[in-house]
Amino acid sequence: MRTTPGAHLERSGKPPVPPATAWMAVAVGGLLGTEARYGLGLVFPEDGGGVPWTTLAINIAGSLLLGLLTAFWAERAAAPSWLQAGLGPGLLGSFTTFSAVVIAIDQLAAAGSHHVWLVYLGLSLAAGLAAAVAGLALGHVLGRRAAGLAGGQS
Amino acid sequence: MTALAALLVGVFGMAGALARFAADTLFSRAAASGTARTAWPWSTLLVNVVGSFIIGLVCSVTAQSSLAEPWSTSVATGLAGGLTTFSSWTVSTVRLWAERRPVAAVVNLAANLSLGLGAAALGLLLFR
Repeated sequence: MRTTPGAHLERSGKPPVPPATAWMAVAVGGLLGTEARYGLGLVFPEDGGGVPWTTLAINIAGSLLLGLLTAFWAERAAAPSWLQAGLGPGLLGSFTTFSAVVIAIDQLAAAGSHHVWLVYLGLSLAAGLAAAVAGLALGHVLGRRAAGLAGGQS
Repeated sequence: MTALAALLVGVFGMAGALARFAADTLFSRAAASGTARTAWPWSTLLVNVVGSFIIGLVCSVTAQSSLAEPWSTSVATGLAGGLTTFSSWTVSTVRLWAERRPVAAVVNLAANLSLGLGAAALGLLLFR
């Protein structure tokens, strides 16, 4: 007699479907992350013909924070799955955007503003990747320190 | 009107985030037979290409003035913005590099960029 829910899933070796709490956290995080990006766009409107600085700043900040959380949780593995889903794929996944980057590059290129889209693409890649590297490094340090504190003096 | 726009953008962003999370879940379950060595962020590529096509489509339809506000902003900023992600793309690229898989990391950058730019351009052209 098998009463454990999801036992058939474990047998197949697949990762389990995330619980309902994770989906709800992604929904709330997705709402908040999108509203934050939309709100920042209203407060700091982007000039159509120039580098979209607001989107660039959002993507750099989001890459830093996701790197930090990813490495921190890898060290500690203490956060519940709903919190990880809500903050990672939910909040930061929706806060940052890829579609706005490529549409801006396409439109800047079509308008002949080649130096502008090249600067935008270069900055997005260089600063976005550097922010991810910095976030991951910082998350490792903070995670190890937090694990050390939790484990007592050893 | 602005309050309605703000609400709609958030709801569309929520839908985009849930669709992206569903894609993550499906791909991670489908890839479970492989090893961690061969894992590659396919779901991020998929959502970024689909979302780039959607935002291109919205821009071309809006230029034809057949899609009024707040719907165009809701679909472009909300749905396409919430569905696509920049942070997962950069972090997964750095992690592939840290796993000593430089080719996989560079292909991740190039595939998202080239297919995303192409998908947005295709969407822009479709109703022109």
